[in-house]
Amino acid sequence: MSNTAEYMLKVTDVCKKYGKYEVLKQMSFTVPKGSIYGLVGRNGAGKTTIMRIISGLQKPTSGKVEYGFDHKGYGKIGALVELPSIYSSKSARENLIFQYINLGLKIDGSVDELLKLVSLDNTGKKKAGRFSLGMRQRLGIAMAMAGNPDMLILDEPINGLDPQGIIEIRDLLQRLNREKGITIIISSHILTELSKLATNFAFVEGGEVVKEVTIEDVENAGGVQSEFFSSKPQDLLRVLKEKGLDARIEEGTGIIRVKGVFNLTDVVLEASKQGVNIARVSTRETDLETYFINLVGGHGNV
Amino acid sequence: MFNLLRFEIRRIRSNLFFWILTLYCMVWPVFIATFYRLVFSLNVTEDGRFSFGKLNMTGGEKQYICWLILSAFFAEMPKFMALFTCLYIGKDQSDGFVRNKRIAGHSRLSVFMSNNIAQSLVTVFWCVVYICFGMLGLKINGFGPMLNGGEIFARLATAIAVLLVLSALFTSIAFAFRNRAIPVVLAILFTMVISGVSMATGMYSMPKAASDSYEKCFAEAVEFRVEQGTLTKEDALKLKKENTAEAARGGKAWYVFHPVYQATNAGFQSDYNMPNGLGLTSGEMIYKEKIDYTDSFVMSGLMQEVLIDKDKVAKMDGVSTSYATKNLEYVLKSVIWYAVFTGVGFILFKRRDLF
Repeated sequence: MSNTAEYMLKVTDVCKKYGKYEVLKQMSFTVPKGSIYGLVGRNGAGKTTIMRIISGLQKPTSGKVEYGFDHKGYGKIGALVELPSIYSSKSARENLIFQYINLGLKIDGSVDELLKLVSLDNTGKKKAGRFSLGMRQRLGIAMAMAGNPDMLILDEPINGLDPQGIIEIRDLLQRLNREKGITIIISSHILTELSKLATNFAFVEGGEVVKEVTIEDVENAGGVQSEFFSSKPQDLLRVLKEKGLDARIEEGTGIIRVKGVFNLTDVVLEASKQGVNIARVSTRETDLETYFINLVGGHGNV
Repeated sequence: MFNLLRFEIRRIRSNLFFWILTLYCMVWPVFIATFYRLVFSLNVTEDGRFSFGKLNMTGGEKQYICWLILSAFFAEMPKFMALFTCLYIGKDQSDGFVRNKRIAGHSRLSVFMSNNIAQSLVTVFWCVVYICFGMLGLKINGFGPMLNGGEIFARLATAIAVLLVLSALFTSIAFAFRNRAIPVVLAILFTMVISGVSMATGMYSMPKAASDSYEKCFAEAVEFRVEQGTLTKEDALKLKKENTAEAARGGKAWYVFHPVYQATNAGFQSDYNMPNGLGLTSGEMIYKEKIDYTDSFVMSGLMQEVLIDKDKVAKMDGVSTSYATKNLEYVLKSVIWYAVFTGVGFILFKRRDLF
C-alpha cells in the first residue's frame, strides 16, 4: 500500500458472520488522513466489531480493510476497544512499562510524561484493579497512545469519565490530532461530545454504514426541527401536511417531526378547528443527535 | 518475538505465585531428604523408646534414595504447572493484554510462541531448582549425593523433556479459552487422566520380542523336565498353554495399551521406576541399571517351578533395554508431542476471535 494515499483507512464491503448471524453487512467507509472519525450507531449496530477488525483482533468473513500508511511494525495503531486492556494487579506505571516492552520501546521519561498527560502521575503503587472506571479509561488511553501511533482507535473512550475528565480527554485527543497529526477513529454514545470532537462521521445501522458526512454537512443540515405529540397523530399529520410542512411520523411512538421554521399559532389554530388536539410541542436546532435520529429514525439507544 | 519473550520473562519475575512455587521447589526436596534421613536412622530401643542413630544404608540403597528425591519433581510438578500456566495465560486473556499485543503489531504466532517458550523455561527452571536443592538436601543428610557417575542427570534431563510436553499441552489449553476457570479445571483433569493412563500403560510395557523369548525359554525348560521324567507330557502341555507369550505380556489388553505406551510418554513413570513409594514399601531399593523384564517373569512364580535359568532369559532378544536407549526414545517422543500440542494449540488460538 502506498503511503501517499489520501485515506488513512478504507473499509470495503466488510462482512462478519457468527454462524448464521450477520453482524456486519458489507460495511464500507473511508477515513481521511488527519481526521477524527466518529462512528455513530445504536447498540449492536456493529461499531465495536468493525473496530476489532481494524485493530486486527478479529478477521472479517469477507471484504477488505486497506491502510493508507505503513501499518506493519510495532505500535503503528493504538486502540482502546471496549474495556481497557490493563493488568489489574499492576500499577499504572507498571502497566505502561509493560506496554513499552510490548512495543519494543525504550523505557524512559516518556512513561511519566504519558502518565501526567492522562492525570495518573500521582497514583503511585495503587493497583489498576482498584482504579475507578474513569481512571482505568484514562490508563487505557495512555496505553493506546504509547509509542505515538499513526492511528488511534477508541471505542467509547469517555465512558465513565466525570465532566472534567471528558473535557480533558477531548482536549487531549484534539491536541494529538492537531499537533501530531494522529488520525483518530472514535465511537461514543455521548453524541454531543462526539460532535464537539469529530470532523467526520459514519452513521452505522444494522451492520452497515448508512451515511458518511463531515461536521460541515451536519451543521449545514442545520435548521430547526419540531416534535409534535398528539393523541391523534395521523390526523395531526394530515393537518401539518395541509399546511405545506415537511412532516414525518415516527412509527411506534407516533411522534411527528417537522423540519424548518413555521408559524406555530397558525398550526395550533388549524388543528383546533379540525378537532385535533396537540398535547405538546418541542423545538430544537439540528445537532448530531437529531441528524442521526432523522437518518435512521426512532429514539433508539444511540 | 524477542520483545514478547522479554515481556513474559519480566512478567513472570514479578509474579508472586511463580516465586511461591519456586520456594516450594527449594524447600520440599530438602525437607523430604531430611525426612528420609530421620526414617532410616530411627532406632527403637527394647523399652519402646525412639532414638536417631547413624545412617546405616548400603551404597545401592543410598543411590536409590538419591534417584527417589531428585526425580520426585516429575510426579509433583504437573499439577503446579497446570495451575500456573492456566492462571498466568488466563490473566493475560481476562485482563485483555493479549489484545494489546495483537494491536501492537505482534503476530498471533509470536504471541503464542512467546508464551509457550516462557512456560517451558519456567518448567525447566523449577526442575533445575528442585534438582539443585535436592542435591543440597541429600548432601547435608549424608546420602551423597550419589549420581552414578553423572548418568542420573541423563535420566533427569529426559524427565524434564517429558514434562515439557505437558507444558506445551497446558499452554495450548490456556490459549483455547478466554475464561480462566475452564483451562484450570481441564488442565488438572488432564493431569489426573494422564496419571491414570500412565499407570495402565506401564503394566503393558513389555515388548513382543521379550514375551516371545520368554515363551521359547519356558517351552524349552518344560521339554527338558519332560525328558528328565520330572514332568508328565499332559502337565507340560498344560503349563505351556498357561504360559504363552500373550499371557506374559498381560493378555488381550496389551494390544490396546502397548501401542499407547509406544507412541506416547505414558510409560515413563513405570520404565524409570519413578518415585511412588513402592520401592520403599516393598523393601526393594535398587537403582536399576537397565529395564529388565525378567523380573516380570520371575513374579509369575512359574519360572522356579520349571527351573528356568534367569540369567539365560535376561540375555535373550528384547528382554532388557538400556536407559541410554530409553532416554533417546523418550526425548524423541517428547519433541514430537511438544510439536503436536504446540501446533494444535496455535491453530485453535489462530481461529479464535480476541474479544
